[in-house]
Amino acid sequence: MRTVLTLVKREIIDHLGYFVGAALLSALITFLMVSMVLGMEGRELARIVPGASIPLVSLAVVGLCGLGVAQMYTDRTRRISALLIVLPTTRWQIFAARVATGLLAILILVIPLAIAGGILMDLRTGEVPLYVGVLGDVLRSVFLVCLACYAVGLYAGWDRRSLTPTLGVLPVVALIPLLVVIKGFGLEVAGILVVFIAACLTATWCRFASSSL
Amino acid sequence: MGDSPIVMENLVKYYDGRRVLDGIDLEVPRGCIYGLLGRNGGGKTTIIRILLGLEAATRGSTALLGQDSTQLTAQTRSRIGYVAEGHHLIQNYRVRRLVGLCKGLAIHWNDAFFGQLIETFRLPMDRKVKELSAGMRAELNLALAMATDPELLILDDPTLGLDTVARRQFLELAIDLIQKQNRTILFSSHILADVERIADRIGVLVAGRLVVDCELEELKNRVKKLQVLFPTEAPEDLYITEIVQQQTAGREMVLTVANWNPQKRAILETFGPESVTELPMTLEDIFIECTKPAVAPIWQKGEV
Repeated sequence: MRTVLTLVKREIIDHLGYFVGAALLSALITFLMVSMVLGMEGRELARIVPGASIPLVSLAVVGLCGLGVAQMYTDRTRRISALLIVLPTTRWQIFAARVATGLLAILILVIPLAIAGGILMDLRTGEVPLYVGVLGDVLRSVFLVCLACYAVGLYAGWDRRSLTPTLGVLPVVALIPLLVVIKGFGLEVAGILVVFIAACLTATWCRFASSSL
Repeated sequence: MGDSPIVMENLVKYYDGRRVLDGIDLEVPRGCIYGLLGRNGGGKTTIIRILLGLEAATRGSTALLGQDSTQLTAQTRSRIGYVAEGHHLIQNYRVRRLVGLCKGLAIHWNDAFFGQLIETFRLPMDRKVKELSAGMRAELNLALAMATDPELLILDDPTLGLDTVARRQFLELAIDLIQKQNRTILFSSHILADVERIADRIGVLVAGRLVVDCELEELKNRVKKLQVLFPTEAPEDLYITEIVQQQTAGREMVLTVANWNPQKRAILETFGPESVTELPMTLEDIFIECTKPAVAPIWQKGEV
């Protein structure tokens, strides 16, 4: 456990910009959410929120994909794992620490939103017609979309030796949130995203475990 | 795989269809300082990378400290120190941060000893690794490897790229550190003088094959270079086995023979040579003879 924590700490310091970005983005979204919810009528709110959320969501998913790419790409170019693996670590610990770091960045983004969303829902209950459990569904979808984009980044970052071709994953990253936009926040979408994430992480692990370092 | 800290069995490695290692069998006994020699690109680094699990073998198996190289646990890795060729440390880290990372991951870390080494090497802790000279990087790498008091130390051409002064200084310190402790060391180099100073057992890799594997002194005793003068034209074939090299010019023949013994001498005498003079051989001479193209015989563990 101590090894993984040391590795997570290293990942966080190396990619501190992404964590600061996630915190700032989360604060910005929370601020906009609070101002809009408290300053608008229910109907107006329902019209504006989806529009305002598109650029912010895009920023979040591209940023998380970028984090995944950066973790793997810098590993390859700086031969970080080649050094780590000859210390008392295993490939599995290095990979697990990397994914844990990504999860931490996602949680930094999502947890403040969940708290603010919960409070606002309590405040405006009854004004906007919503079903019970909508917040949970939305947060689950946001979390899975973020994780899926991050997992795509990890996969692409290790796969490519040059940074430019990794831009090729951007269409995939754009498609992931669209899946939620089109199909909604239901369990079927969550199922699809879970399978997609599992496939990406497994493929990345297989590459990482079998590659020369 | 026995008690030996380093074991290789029928190790084969192909790169892009090219055979780099061709059935290497090697066992390095505990407490031995093993010098692995070979020309650049001869497969020394590949062997070490496979041993450490940095890349997979095409065929065969390797083990370090009794554990398969592909499944080395963190516990086993903590007993191994490694100084890599070219010293691939994380270049954009400051020395202090790199040391902190290695220390954080280490299961055992000898702080006092590491402090001593840093003082001896005069390594600046606040500079970035990429700002250090090649010699300083080599010293930092050695200090990091030694700070964990490893049972097994693997040095992959640690003096590569160092100038003569830095190389000498590095070796003096390395020898001093190595001799104080009874640890197993695998030392690869293409600089023979370095190996000759440190190693007590030698392996020579030629074209992916381990053509020599024996004690250094034994190697020097068993390989002989002879200048043979015949009364008339030198014969084409002496019918002596294990001739490493044979050069003929008129009456004169220069032979390098492995496992020189009275039987071989008796065979040579049947050709009635006028004189047989033994030419002195250094490790470098032996190495050059071994690595010449079309080397005939091979001598290995148990045969020499």
